[in-house]
Amino acid sequence: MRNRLKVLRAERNWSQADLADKLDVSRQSVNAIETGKYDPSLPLAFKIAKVFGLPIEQIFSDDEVAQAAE
Amino acid sequence: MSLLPVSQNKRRALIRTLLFTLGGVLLALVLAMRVWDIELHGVVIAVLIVFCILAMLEFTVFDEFSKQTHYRAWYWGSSAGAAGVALVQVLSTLDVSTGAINSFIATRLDSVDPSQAFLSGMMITLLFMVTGYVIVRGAMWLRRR
Repeated sequence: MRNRLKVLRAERNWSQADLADKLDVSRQSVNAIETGKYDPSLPLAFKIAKVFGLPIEQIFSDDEVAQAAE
Repeated sequence: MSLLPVSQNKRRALIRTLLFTLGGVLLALVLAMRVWDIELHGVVIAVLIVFCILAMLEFTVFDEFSKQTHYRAWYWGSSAGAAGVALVQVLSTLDVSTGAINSFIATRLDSVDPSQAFLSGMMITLLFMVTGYVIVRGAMWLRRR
């Protein structure tokens, strides 16, 4: 799974800690999601989408789909 | 109404602070018992019970990533620890290790009664499993940094 978390966060000038506070998860969780070491659950993915005000598919994409698009 | 903060992050921080504080208190109590020979077993058990309740409470405020890390570390680490115990048991039945392992165990259990040896065995198994957990959890933490 790929995601644009880091880019979206940078656009808003948020630190990992800021985003972690908004999502009510640990900073380590945000870091793990950003670096692709952890795929969030659906509820957390929806929460992330809500925080950024975007649909989930604009934040997360399947590896194969992303590779095909490239 | 809950006495804990609404935010899961703040709950986690509060419980963790309490756990560290109680851990320090436990250590101080055990040291006091050892160094000054004070009878504090009742107090230690009471603090230990509160510590265990808080540790269980901490698990409920873990976020999903922390829970997964915990599951993975416990699965791999404690399984490896339990396998280590099984390995020592198997080795102790082999002739090649009789000299090393069996004499090591025999010198320590020679004057110990069976119930004491049984309890020691339980604690050693637990020690192996917790050690495995700590190693795997530490490795995962280092890799994530």
